Amino acid sequence: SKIARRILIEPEDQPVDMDADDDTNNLSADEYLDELYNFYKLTEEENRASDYMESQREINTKMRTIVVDWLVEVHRHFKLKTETLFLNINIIDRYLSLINVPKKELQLVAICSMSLACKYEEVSYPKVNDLLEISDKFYNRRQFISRERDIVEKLQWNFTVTTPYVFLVRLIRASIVQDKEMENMAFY
Amino acid sequence: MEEIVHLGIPFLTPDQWDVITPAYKDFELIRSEGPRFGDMFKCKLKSTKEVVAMKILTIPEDQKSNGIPYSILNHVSILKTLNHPNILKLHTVLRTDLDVEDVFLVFEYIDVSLKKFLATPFPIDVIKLGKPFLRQALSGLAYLHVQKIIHRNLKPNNILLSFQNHEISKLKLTDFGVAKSIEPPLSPYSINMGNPCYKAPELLLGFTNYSTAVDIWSMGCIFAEMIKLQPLFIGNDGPKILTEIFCLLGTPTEENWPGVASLCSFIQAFDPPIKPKDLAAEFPKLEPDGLDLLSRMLCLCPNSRISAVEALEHPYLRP
Repeated sequence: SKIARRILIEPEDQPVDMDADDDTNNLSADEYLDELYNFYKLTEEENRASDYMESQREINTKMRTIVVDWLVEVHRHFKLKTETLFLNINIIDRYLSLINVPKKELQLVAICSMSLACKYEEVSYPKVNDLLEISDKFYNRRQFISRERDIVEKLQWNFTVTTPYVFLVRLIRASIVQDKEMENMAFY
Repeated sequence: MEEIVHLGIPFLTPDQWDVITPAYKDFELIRSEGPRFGDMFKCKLKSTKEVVAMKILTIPEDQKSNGIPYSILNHVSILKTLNHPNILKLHTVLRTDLDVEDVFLVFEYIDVSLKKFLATPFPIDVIKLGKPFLRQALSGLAYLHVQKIIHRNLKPNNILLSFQNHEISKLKLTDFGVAKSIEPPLSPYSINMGNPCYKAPELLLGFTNYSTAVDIWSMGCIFAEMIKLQPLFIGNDGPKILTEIFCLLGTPTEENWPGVASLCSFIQAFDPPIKPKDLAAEFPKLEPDGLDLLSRMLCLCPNSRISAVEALEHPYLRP
């Protein structure tokens, strides 16, 4: 995303104030927007997972793809926010870069990460029962709670992370002509 | 509880104590000495003799079946990102057995809250210390606001101070239990947290799309309280506090808070509208620059309210 970076750093010759129409939304954090994005830029690398697949014994990129696709479906099912999905995947990747996870527990890690992402981002979110349900009751509550706690401890409670989502939102906004299809292409 | 403190019985339950001590032999609970502040316990690290504060987040019984509650996740996750001289530093989150549900946070230790100071017979001399106080408090807030965090519960209990030679040597904002990390585009947030006395009018009126300006309002109330030595607005519920706010600052008008005055039936109920009082008469001790800054922090319309960064540039706070 080198191009993306260039757009963020070098505005066009005659920049359009892309937030001009935001005046009506009179409580937005406008005054801090520039600083906020500078802050995002600084923190982007902080909580990024390293390339970890080599170190996993049972899991490969294909399985990760399947799990992520499944999560996209699940997120749509529960009508969750896009930023929750990005955080969910960030949590999975950071955890997998630290811990060796057996194949049969990958889905458990996925739903526990989803639970954490939801608790962080959403106002109302699926409960543990719902999450055990969508994974065909393959795991029990005890397994869920202790894995969730382990993820939290291993990631040292760092869930305030900068995911690609915030940059995508900004870039889509900057692209003057806004259409839903391009937005969806960018997010998924 | 106070009595128990003086008897020298530890604040931790025996179960909690059993959880911590095997893994953290270094901790020594300071039992009867010193004040207990808020829900924190004073502890000492045996090895370094460093005094620290421990806070225990307990998962309510009815939430245990859902794992870690969102409130605790949010609280600790925000604390982990904070590192600023005017924000109480989280040293560590103790690692416990995976079966243990309580979360143990270890903070740096600062003596006393602003609330305690305001209650002493010799409270803070605002004329002398008002500027350094605001400068430090607003630096902490500016730091939070730049990285999209709203504290949402600022009050004198949550500002810790220590003094050296009658100067403020340390000022730390604390208690991020209901803090919120926001992301643009802003979505509606809860308005049910915090002490009503320090709540901004947009929250009391029920607007859910508020932003960092709510903290500036609270800080304005706190600053005013340091001068008056009693809370600026007193009351138990939203309507009572709003009435007090309007009595001092006048009812909002279409000019000073566009789009709101005409929409809120609560505001329209004030007929005829209340005229704002003269702040200079209310705060005779405060110099003109200080009055100007206070009035900008207590601006009814959140959009026109001064930001933490702007406030730090205000003539009153310029060195």
